[in-house]
Amino acid sequence: MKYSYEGIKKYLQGNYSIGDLKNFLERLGLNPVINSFKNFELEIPSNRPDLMSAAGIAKSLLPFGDFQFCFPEFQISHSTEEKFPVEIYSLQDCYFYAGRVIKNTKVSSSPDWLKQQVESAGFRSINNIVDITNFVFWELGQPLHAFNKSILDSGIIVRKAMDNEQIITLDGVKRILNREILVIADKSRTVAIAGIMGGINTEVNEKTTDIFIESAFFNPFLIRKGSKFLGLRTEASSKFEKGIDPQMIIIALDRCCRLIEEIAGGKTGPLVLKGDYKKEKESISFSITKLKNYLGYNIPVNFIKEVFNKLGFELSDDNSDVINVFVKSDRQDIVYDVDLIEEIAKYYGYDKIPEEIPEVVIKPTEDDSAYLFLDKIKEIFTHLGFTEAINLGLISREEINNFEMEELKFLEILNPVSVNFSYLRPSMIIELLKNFQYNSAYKNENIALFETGNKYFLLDNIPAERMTLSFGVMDRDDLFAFKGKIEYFLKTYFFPEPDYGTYLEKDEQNTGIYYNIIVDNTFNLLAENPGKINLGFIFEPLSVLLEKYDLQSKKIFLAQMDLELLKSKGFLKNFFDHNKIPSIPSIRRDLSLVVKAGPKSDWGYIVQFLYDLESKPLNIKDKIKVFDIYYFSDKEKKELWEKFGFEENTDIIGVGISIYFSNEEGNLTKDDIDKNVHEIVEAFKKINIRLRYEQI
Amino acid sequence: MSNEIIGKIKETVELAEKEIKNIKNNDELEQWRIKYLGRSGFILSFTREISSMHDDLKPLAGKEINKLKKILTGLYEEKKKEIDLSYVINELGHKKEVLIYTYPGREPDFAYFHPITIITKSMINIFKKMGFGIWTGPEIETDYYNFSALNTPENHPARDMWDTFYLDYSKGILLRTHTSPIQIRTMERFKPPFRIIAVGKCFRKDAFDSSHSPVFHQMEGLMVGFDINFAHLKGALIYFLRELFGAEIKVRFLPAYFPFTEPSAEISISCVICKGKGCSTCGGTGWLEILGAGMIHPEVFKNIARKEPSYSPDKITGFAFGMGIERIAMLKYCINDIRHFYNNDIRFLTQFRLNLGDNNEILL
Repeated sequence: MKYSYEGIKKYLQGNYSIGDLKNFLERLGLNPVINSFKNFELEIPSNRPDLMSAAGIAKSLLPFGDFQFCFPEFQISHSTEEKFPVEIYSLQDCYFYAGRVIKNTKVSSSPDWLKQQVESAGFRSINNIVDITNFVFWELGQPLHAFNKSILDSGIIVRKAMDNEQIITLDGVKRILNREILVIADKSRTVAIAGIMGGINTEVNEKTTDIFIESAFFNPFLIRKGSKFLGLRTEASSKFEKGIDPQMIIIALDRCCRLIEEIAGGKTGPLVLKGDYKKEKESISFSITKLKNYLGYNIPVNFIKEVFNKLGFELSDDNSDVINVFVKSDRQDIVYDVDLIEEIAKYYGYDKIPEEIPEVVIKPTEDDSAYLFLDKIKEIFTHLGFTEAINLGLISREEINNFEMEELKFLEILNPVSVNFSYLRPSMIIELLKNFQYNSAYKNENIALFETGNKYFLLDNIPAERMTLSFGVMDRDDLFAFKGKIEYFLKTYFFPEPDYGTYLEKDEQNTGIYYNIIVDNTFNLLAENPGKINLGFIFEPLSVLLEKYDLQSKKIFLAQMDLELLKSKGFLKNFFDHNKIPSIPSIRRDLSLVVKAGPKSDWGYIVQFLYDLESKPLNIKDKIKVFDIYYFSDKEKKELWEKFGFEENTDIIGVGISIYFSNEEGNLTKDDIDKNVHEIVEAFKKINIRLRYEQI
Repeated sequence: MSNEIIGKIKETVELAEKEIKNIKNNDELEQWRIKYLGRSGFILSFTREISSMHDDLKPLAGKEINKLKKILTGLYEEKKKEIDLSYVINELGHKKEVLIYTYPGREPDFAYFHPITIITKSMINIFKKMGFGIWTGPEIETDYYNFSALNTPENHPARDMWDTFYLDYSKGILLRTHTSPIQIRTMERFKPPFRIIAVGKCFRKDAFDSSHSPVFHQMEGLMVGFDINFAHLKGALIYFLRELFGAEIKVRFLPAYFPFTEPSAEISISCVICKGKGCSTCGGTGWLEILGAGMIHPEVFKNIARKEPSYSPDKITGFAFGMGIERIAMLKYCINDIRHFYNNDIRFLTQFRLNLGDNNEILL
């Protein structure tokens, strides 16, 4: 609802300007904005239904100055004795129901002042009766409803609706109700959804002469639930769900009837009352010392008492530190003494309380290990040349389908904001590929991105999340360059060689090739938990998938790793004593090998084979590195098959290795090295590895 | 008299241009410089002439001399460049080599942190100075941690303040709408006194457009102890805001409503764009809402005290605050579309550096 300066001025007399008014409303935290009709639009917090009326706002401004609250005196004429029976079937849903009959009234359009008044408050002008109910709602905050009485069948019944009961509301929409919704009915039909909206069947129109005005107090939770279920929020429902002032029910009803007498004419009947809502006058015990300690500032006692008085809160009139404060019935937001403290601070002005840096005992608060871990991972990956991406984590079903991932485990948002964001990502690489698509569309080239975050899935029927790392390259690395970065990351920070080896396990799928990243310490004799760990995968999308993202002809590798596994392993610590660096350089020999594919040609096996040779041409301090992997042409293959006597069509690759013979004592001679190399070359023959330029 | 001087100046320019054309090396150029621009050169002799002129004529003549000085200096610098370049070429004898060294080097594989990470780190650094620990928590939360424990029971009208994504209605499993559940979880973990900040992704049922996103990041803080008060809340937050936005900003505290704090405050700073005069960023008000804060509501403490009695609201007090990280980044870096943070366009991501630009950012 909206309020003008003049509108408020009628209820709050005193010397203040429009600017002052704006300032008061600001200091109450209502964020006043003056719109083009010179009306204030306010943000009323949900705990302050008392501020949803002109009188309520006027009362809340009293402590700001020497102002008087005024309200027009009025008297109802009581010119008919006609009553109308009311029955409440469930008292826990309708605490209180009041009403009056008005006979022989004349429904017509409203006088100009009323029309203007309701329209500037934000209502549509309907006719004089409806406009008066809305005006009094605006003025006093009590929602009222006018029924066409001559259509009502012998009395009002307040009851719960039946399942699938139907009503056409005033907006012309057919509503289907349920047992949790409260309705107003007569003997033969439903005439209104209580507290939410009236029915069209008892609408007051130009032909109506006799009306019944309702002023009630419904269960706020029930109204809220009903309005949510129906998807129907009205000014009335929004007020009822936050709570009304029980003291205002009859005052508002009478004010409404009097205005009808004055504007539309008619004879008012006696008050009909049902329900027995009574609230004990409760007091809150309030300590001035606590206020001082809580705010960290000493607000003068006089000021405190003045604010309470001006708000109409009664005080126990002793001068002790603790006083009893009786809060008015419209201030349902005040329950605890801290609520009263806020009230005082508000009127005093938050800005007038001087700030202070807390003095504390130095008791360090530990950090979350998950945060520290992620922070370090981010640092490492930027050092590896990957730029950090952050994605929403919300994707469409179509995006999941593109990747043909396993069904069942997806998490669907039950009330999504759009189909594009209706699932939680089951894998972190999905959005990364979308990022590449975006960059590629803008001709951004040579991209490397990483992201840390959660992937989400259903685990034993319970939604779960898992800390995960994803990263990928577009037109930057080939598989071995990409793999090299993963190996560097793993062996530098988690799984040092030679205790651990890492390798990939290829797994071809329709959409792309998965290379599972396996860390293996099976050969580490000292390992406490020997075995293989699957840390994640590299994914090489195939053109069938790339085409969907307009990324055909792009060289893309994506990877995902489980960060919770890595976190439980923990970062390597720096050694207490570092390894001594040899003062004599090692001796390097390069070998160009032809490796025949077979069970004994994987790299882990070869390395192990060399270290295990009985004559020990290699010792543990010697190092082997691959400097090149080479795919032979058909012509070269043919020559090599022939040369080494391999069967035709044997799969062979070229591998260039460097062996670094450690020479810490400085006593290795050229002959020693030659002898060791010779032994290695001879041993290689046993597992079908040959020197490419071997003289046969 | 002034015509006379203008004529002289014209002559001087012509002469100087003629002479400089024939100059081949630095020595000759230096002679030329002394003649025209030196201590007893043309310029200064003209300047001296002015002093004897009528006052009315002085400004015009002065202007002419300045023009002359500009022309001569330009001629000098152009020639100097020409001589220097030709000199290098002559010495090396390889024209090609000089040429190639003017070309850019090969670009390394650059990498940057996301701006959300960068702004988060700088905010964390400020709180670290005040001894706050950093905590995270699950994004998939329960109704209890996201709402009930925070004094927002079911059917509470205040729940409308957070439009929530649900994963399971019957079990009350949802995506957290704020980082406040981390505060509850941290209180369950630590006995008072302590102070932490909570960071992470949050989810609200919002459209994805230039000013809204269904996903955003939040940073909240919590300090509980035996005599924490509202003045402390103000002190800590004013310190934070001045460190982040500069010492010159003004800070305004106004009442607000949150179910989990009482008193509650909304904190604004004077607009960083218009310095408080009013502009489109601040909606003409001169103020920018940055933080929600307040003293922790006794009901919240009561909920914790059921498990950990040291949280009895009679014994302890505390303050809490929260803010949107995207909003702060948008203000600090003048970003006008929130979607930039999530498109991951490399042209955007590579503009923000961790260790530059802001007064408080510390090298990793």
